[in-house]
Amino acid sequence: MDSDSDDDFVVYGTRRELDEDDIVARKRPKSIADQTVKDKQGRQRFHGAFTGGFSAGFFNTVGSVEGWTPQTFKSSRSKRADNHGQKPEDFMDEEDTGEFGFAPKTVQVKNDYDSIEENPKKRKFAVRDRSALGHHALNSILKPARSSVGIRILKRMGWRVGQGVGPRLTKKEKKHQRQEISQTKKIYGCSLPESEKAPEPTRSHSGSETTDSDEGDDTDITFAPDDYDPFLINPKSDSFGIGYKGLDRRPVLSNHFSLFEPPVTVKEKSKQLTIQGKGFGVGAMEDEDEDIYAVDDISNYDFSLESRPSTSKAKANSLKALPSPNEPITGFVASTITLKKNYFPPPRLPPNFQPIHVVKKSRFEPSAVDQEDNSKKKILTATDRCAIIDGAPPSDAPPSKQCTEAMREDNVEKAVPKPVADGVFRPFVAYPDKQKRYEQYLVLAKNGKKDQLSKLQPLSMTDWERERERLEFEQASKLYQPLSAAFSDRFVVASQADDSTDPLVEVKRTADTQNDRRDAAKRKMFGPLTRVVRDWAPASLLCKRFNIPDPNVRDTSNEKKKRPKFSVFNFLDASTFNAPSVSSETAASDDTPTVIKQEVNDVEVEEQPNEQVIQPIDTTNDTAIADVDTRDQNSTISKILETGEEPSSKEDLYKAIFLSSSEDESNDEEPDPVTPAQSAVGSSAPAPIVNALRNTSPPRGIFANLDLDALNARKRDSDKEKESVPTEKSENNEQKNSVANARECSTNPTSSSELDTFAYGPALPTKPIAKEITKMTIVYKKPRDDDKWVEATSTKKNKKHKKDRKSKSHHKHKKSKKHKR
Amino acid sequence: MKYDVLKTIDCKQGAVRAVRFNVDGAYCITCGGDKKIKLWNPHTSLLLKTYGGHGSDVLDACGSCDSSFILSGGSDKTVIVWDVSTGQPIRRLRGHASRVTCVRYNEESTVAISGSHDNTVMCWDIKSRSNEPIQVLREAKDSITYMQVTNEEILTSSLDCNVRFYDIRKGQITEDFVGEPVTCVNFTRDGQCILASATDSVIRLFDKTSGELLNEYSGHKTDDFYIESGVNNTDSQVLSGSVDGCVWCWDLVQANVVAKLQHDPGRPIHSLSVHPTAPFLLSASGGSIKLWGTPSAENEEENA
Repeated sequence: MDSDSDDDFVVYGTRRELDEDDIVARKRPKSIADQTVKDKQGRQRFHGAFTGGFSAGFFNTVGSVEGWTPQTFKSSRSKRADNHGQKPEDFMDEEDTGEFGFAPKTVQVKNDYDSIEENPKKRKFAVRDRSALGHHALNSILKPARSSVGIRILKRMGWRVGQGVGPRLTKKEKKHQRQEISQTKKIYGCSLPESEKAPEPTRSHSGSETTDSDEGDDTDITFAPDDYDPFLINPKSDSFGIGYKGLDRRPVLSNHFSLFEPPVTVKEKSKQLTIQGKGFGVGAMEDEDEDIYAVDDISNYDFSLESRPSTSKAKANSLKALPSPNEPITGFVASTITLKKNYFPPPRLPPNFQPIHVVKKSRFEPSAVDQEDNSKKKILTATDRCAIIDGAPPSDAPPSKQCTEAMREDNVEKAVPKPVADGVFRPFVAYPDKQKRYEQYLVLAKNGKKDQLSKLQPLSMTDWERERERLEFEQASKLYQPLSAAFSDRFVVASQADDSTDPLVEVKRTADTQNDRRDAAKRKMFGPLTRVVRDWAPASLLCKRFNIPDPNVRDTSNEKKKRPKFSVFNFLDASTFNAPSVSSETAASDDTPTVIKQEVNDVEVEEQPNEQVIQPIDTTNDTAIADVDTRDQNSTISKILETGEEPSSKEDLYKAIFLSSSEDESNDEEPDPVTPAQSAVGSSAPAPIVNALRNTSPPRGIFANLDLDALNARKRDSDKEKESVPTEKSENNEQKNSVANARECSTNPTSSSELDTFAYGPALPTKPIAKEITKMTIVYKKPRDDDKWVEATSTKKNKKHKKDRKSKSHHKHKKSKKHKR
Repeated sequence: MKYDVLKTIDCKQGAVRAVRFNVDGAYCITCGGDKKIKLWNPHTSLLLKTYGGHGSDVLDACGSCDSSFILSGGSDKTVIVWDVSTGQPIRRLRGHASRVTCVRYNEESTVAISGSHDNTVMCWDIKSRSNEPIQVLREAKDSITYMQVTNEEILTSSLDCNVRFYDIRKGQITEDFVGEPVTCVNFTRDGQCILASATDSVIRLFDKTSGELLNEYSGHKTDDFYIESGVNNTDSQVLSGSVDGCVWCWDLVQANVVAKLQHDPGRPIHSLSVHPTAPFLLSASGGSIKLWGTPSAENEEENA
């Protein structure tokens, strides 16, 4: 068919030859390969299909024709001054700062552009970075209100606000012009019918003339042309129809609605139709749904039966026009309380304030004050004037500041002791008054009355100055302290002056503190002579890692304990622990007054009846005994107080108390030997007792093989023997002690061997016996030792547990590792 | 008690700077002059692992309480914590200004304590990731030579002739002036005495609580070497290396020489490690270590 179709039709005219050029000229679809984005230099901008990589370097290579060339080292030594450091721009391509880059830059008018006030030479084009970085939102908020440059220039040229721009016109011309304008007024949309056209609004703001008057038809008088109405354009930021406002984005409940304004309004009365507040329109064919979200409005209700007064127009007007300043806005009530504005007075100028600031040309120039001094333009005070006139102070003058000041100073001088003597660094020598005040301040600070500084300061000082001075003083007192102990420990005061030139001066050997230690070490007198014990604060974390309570924390409680307090409990210890030592003291040293012996006896007698109760409890419970003994001790104290013994005996009593407390400490801690201090206090403490106090744990290590008990037993036996023969005399301490014991024994009916069994065994004697106090101490010690032993094992157990746990956890760890593999 | 040579190991790591038993005495660590640490089973002369990573001589090492870590310090001023099984350094603690002469773990291996030639002892927290020492003990006026750490005390010896022990529980530091530079200091096993060897070729036994001299052991020679000493596992003998290549043994109480164990004649024995529980002794001289002990004890060990 197709082949025939040509024949079927009649062809008119001659077929035009197909032009070769035409074919070529026909637009061919561009191949994708050709659609490349190129930059200004014709370099390909993007690479790869989706990577969107930027062009880089030389023909998309890096660097130059030769390839990448490393940056050559440039010494900045010679031009250190213009070494500004790097800016982000150094690392950006030029495209980046271009229109489509990520940091576009545009040339803008400077914000503070001002051709008149500023030196035009200085004028620069501010290149504002439009990127979000570096742009302060706050700046734009706090921008001061200021007119545009154009307006400022116009004003400069004589233009006034409200006038139009252009050549001045006569009245006639002006009228003509106005008519023209009104005729060519553009109307968007359908124009309202002629009848409903609103009367032309009167111009209230046209400055030169407001009324049309046919009279003054003067051609000489010219007027400035009318100003054009400022054509305000609200930028449209949404895609709704013109004049439409969408629903409020905020949720319904949070929305603040007023009862006085209809939420949905269709204002028909004022010829403009404004529609607001519906998300979706209602079609022509459908009824409007019941608006369930509508907010009821009070204006929808009638409050009276009469027909509505026809004041709608007025109302509309009032709505349209801004309310006059006296009338409140609808919905508001004029306040009855007048707002009181807080008035802040301007800051008071300091008395020596000079309103002129003189800029010094160089810092070596003498200061303005000095110059003033030189020129003798000094402002004379009242006292100065008096001195000049007759040398008498102003007596009849009203109580001036200075008088009160003087009075104050008198008071202060009464209150404040004289400043400290020399040797103190004087930081304010230049200002003698200040220096004096500083010294007084130092004294005050020493007494802990720093806040009294304000009394020292003269009234003429402002609060600010006072505060400043106070801070200065504080700083100075901190700075110019004598060297702290830490420093003074490390440095030695120079024996030579710094500027001494003779290097051959013999340097005196400083006293070597270690000398005596060295001597002692040489003579093999190791012990207290070679030993130094100091406090050391282990870091809390270290203690934690060592599983040890922080001694720093505990120290405070220890100190409390150490404080020699006359407490009942101290006294309790005194009797149980120190009675023997005191008695042995009496025995050892013959020169002690006999009163002590009496007192000790008193104590013993007092204790005797209670002994039965004490001793069995002793072995079981420590606290119980405390209760019992306090009663006991109270009675003894009262007794002592009543008898009103001699001061010397009291002293011994105190000594006994303190001695006990120190011994108590050594018990609390590890078995310790008698430290020198301790031995100084309780110099009378005999060796056997101290040893008993010292290491009572079962022998370990090198002592393991020794049968200490056996040794002790032998000693005791020998003691007993000596006791049995009281007449035997000997020189050494132990024997004296035994003599003392023997004396006591002579007063007691029971023998010491019996006491021995009594002390260790639970059996109670049938009748009260006098206590041998040395035995009692042993009894008292025993349970403590047990306690200690138990504690040690328990800690060991704990450690074992920990280790177990650790090893377990380790196994776990290993397992998990295996899993990983 | 007689000691015989049980094993001799040529460590092949240059000079053996120190030899240490691990916590239970089953293994030993040798610190080499070739920057390597080697872990051995001395009873079988078996090399278990080599730990490389120090920048210079390794001067001391210590095994953790669970034997899973090794702490070491060396001339490169660093302290390194090693994972025993992987052989990798876990942490490098830098802070010392000079070579680290001794390192110890605390009882739970939570703190690494290192003494250095810069006169300080630093306590490092191993549990946390902190690279700063917990505390630096700056009391010493000269190089720290040796250190012992118990569960509550740090015992250090210094070339400033002092033995110091820091009692953490009491918050107290006790300085005992020895009169001669101290090269090695050890607690006796019972913790009651301190054994300090000094450069004047005398080993002194002090009472810990009073600082009194209990005994002196002499006869050996130390010259200018840091010769280590120790107490055997039963506190009956004092052992010390010597310049003459013997391990000298004294009776602790009598202070007479009990035995001299010939290691390598003419070469000083500078390092010594006593088995924590059994009568074994490791001595290091030159590039080799020797395990000493009684054969019966060895059998027991093997049986166990």
